Amino acid sequence: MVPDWKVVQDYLEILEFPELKGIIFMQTACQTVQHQRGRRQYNKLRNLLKDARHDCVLFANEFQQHCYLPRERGESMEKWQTRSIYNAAVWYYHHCQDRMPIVMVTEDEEAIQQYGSETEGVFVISFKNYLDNFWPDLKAAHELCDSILQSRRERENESQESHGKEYAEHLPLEVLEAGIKSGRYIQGILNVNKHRAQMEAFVRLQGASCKDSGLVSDILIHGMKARNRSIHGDVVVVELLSKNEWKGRTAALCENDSDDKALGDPPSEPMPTGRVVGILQKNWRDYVVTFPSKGEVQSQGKNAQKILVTPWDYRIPKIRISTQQAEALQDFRVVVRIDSWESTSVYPNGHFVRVLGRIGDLEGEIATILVENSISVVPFSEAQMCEMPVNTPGNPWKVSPEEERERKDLRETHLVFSIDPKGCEDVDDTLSVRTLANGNLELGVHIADVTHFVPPNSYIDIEARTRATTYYLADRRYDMLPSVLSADLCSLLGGVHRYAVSVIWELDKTSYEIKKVWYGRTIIRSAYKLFYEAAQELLDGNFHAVDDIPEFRDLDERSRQAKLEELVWAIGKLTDIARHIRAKRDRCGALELEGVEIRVQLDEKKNIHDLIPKQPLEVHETVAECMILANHWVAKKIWESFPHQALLRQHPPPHQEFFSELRECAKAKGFFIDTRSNKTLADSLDNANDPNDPIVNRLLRSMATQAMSNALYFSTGSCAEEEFHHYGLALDKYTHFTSPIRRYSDIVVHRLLMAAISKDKKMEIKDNLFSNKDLEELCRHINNRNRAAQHSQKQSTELFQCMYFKDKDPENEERCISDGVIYSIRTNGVLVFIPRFGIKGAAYLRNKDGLVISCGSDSRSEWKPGSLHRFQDRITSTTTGGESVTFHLFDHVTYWQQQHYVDCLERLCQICLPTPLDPRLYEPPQWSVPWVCVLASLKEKSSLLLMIST
Amino acid sequence: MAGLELLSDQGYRVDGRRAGELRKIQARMGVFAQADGSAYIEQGNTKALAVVYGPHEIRGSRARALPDRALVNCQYSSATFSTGERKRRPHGDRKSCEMGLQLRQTFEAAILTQLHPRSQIDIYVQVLQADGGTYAACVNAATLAVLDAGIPMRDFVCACSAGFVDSTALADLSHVEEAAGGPQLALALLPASGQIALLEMDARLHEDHLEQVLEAAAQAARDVHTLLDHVVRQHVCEASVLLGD
Repeated sequence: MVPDWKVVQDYLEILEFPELKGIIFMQTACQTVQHQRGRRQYNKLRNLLKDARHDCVLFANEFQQHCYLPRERGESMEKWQTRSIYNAAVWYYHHCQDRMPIVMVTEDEEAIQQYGSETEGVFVISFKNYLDNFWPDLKAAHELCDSILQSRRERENESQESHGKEYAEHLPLEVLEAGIKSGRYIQGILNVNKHRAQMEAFVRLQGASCKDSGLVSDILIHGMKARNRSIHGDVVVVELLSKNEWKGRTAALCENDSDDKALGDPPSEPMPTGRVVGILQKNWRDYVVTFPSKGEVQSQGKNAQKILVTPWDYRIPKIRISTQQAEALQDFRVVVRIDSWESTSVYPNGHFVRVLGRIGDLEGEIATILVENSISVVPFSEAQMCEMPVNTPGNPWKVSPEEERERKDLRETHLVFSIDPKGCEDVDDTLSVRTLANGNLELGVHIADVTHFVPPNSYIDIEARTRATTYYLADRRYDMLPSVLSADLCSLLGGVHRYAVSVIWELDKTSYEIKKVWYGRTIIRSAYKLFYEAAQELLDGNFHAVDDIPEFRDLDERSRQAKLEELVWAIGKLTDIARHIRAKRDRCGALELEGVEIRVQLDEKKNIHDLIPKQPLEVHETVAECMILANHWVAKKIWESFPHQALLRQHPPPHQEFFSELRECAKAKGFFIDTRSNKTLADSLDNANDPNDPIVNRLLRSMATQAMSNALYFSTGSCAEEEFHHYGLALDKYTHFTSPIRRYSDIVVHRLLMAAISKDKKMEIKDNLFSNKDLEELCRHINNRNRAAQHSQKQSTELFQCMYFKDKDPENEERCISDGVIYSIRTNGVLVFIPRFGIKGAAYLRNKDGLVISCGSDSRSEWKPGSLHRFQDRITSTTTGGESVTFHLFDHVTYWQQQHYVDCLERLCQICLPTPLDPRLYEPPQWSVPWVCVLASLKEKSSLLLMIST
Repeated sequence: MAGLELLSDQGYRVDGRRAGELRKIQARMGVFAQADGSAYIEQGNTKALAVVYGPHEIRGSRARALPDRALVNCQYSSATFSTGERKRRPHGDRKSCEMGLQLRQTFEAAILTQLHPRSQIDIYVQVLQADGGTYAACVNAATLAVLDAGIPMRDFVCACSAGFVDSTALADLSHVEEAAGGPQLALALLPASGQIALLEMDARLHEDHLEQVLEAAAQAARDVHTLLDHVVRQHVCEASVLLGD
């Protein structure tokens, strides 16, 4: 198939379908795309060409002697391009000795007429025709095609009847570039405030403009007009407004749609404010949207075909699309794509791409999360699976004799075991410890040897690189490697022979100082596959857990006792070593950070059974510490061998201004948090411990976690050595080495380590390593994917939390009532943290009508006219009658909480309903407003009630 | 709109060449009868004319004469119509002077000047059309002209430029590629011995890459040598036919 230039321009999205293969792109068509559609679309085309799965090629027809046609006098550019492409198609046909029919697809009616029957075997047809004839079953492509056609027609109509402009025009690129250079304009990435998407957006400065302008903070973009058609994530150019026009950010809580006029609060102190004058790089992607309800469709009025749909992501403006299926798609989540945003239109224009699923349906919601994070998970292809080794009961995989010769054999000499969470299939790390003949200890970390099975640039390697990580959602996972590797041949399961890459240290018997280190490939046989819980039991000396360990089941009593002792000794010794290393790192300022992790427990039918916060055990720390040690030593090794092209992980120190909230919170409790360095932060966090209330410390730690910057992969060639530092772990060099089954970065590090070993042995380096530039590019990709993985994991957990509470009747269900802590005070409410579920939510103290909360002696709260006073660490609600309630930071309140599914913006809407301390004493009052909450302050030992309407 | 892609993913340059490929070279020797030696060369769209006088007695101040070798005097000029925008001064500006100086250094290294003490050799080069690689074209033209004049040289001097784009070395840059602003290097080579007569680069290039770019330029210069050698042989053939040998 040969698409002509117009088809490539307009239907690229359809050409991207994985089903369409064997497309020949002509150079002429590609250049037109480059010139007329700009870099973004051209890059898409380039990626399509690079993607080996698509089997597409680019034919440089203008550089080919027989295909090149000079442009004739008076011939229009378009005509010439079509003619060139046709000519090349004909040449290609003859080149294949007339054996392969070639289809040229064009939208030019004249061309179809002119060339249609000129050469036998070269068909010239329209794109619609092509889809009908060749892909009648590819329904998605047809739908997409229709929707593109329609949106194009609309656009043509619109350009004819252009009326009053809504936005200022963007400045031309040259002006922007000149402006940035001269310092008049500032370049940055637009970040829309999630909670006030209509009004507030911030521009984070990028690169050089940051230092020049002397601005420390972000630039506020206030209102949609000033945002000037830019969308969250775009690289924009901003002009600063004069100082008297600067505005402050709003501190009040508010719902997304409400106008800020309603809250006449004085905003905080003004910050640099600007307006967008141009967009350098659009960051449009696919958006998941929902259609408005029927009533709203009608009210949108005159043009019933055009419908404003609401994106799932608050930060994206509503998108106008044209479709006739609006009613049918009411309850569905749908993917749309933005086409254009003219200065004459309030909202961007887009088109409908595909349906994901019904709202509220688990599969549909999961698909939404995947699309929103640009995660695409297709099953592994046949070509990729063909590269996989075979391991079937009939034809089991075996250790090959060559490998046996080259690797160090630890099968007989070492007691190797793994400790993992329950139900884990991909075991990529195992541990060993033993006493050497000279009395010293030998600690070993053995990691699955994935690179043995995944040669560089094989199909599977390319696929893994694209996926970059395994995506763990709350109830499922999408593997980076096929399960034959991830759950079988690479997985270091108990009792089987496996290849591994090991780091083995010799430690001094008493001081645990590291004397020697050895890196290399090994063969191991893991003796035990333990769970964290079981290992902890053993460590604590509770041997009844032994019955749960399958490896012990078939042994007779005596050998069982001996083996058990051996294992317990090893775990104990490991813990001892880990404590020691940890203490050493603590002295350098390692941080212990807090984030409540919630595990979703599902029953057999995939119904949500319960939400359980993860219990921290000491064994967790032991294993983590050994992994950190291995990562650290490998980082040192590869950096020494390849100072310019090693993949390491850095954790830049956080911005001091992000700590202000933490400092203020701590002050309310009388603690001082010193944030100057990681050491002082760690120490002051340790000191900030309220003996009566352990939650305070956890909250402070989680706030510190939030202030942190993200840890990133980088290539050592592109950073100065001082920047390698890992702030959180307090290590000068760090990388990821220990999970090659689920992270691509670890695969790269494994290859680097192998190359470093062969370099030491003066052997030839087999794999060609990434150059600094390629590695940097790869790091950016992996960082990006990691972020998507984290977001999707978080969002899926939220989804399950939401599902969990959805069916519960908040008034009767005990689980909806739990203890919470106020962690932030806003002008019209408080933010509350609920440790049981790890949820943070908002509670309003003033309702929409301007009434404030008050509480009577009978434990009920009512809305009464009055006023709110916000102080640094407390908020007081005073009614006109003189009664007043005060909430302090870190007050404990009991929440009756309900998570509500609003039909369009199904985010977790957390409505916190304070209740008396003992839920059983609580009788639901007759509320006149939809949601109610009762607050109980522990401090005052009296129950308060307050009602909240949303 | 989008920045020009100097090297496509498929490995083509803007004008369809591969990375190490030269532009088409056409050359002719003995284009003027009056001068002692002359040559004309086209490298793609870059066209240059070289004329050689000498060796003859020192003109002007006698003090300039060198007791042990000949004085090589080079003058570079480029026609007012040679560039996209019309030039004001055809010669005598800074750039031309510098180019003259470079040519002089190049040819002092190649001509056996010690055979003609106290005399002078004049090389005049004019660029008629500039489309990148003017220095290289001038050196190649001047080599042919010097050969045409029958002045003894150690070897041909063959020159070529090379640039560095997307971690690939490009040989024989065209104007478009030069204008993109990447690092660029000019190399004049004595191909038989592999000695470098002149190497000039005034951009920043990481030293790891220098070797690669240098090798690309040297290979291109050797290719130029093959072509020039062919031109010279053909010229000698024609001349000898005319002489009636």
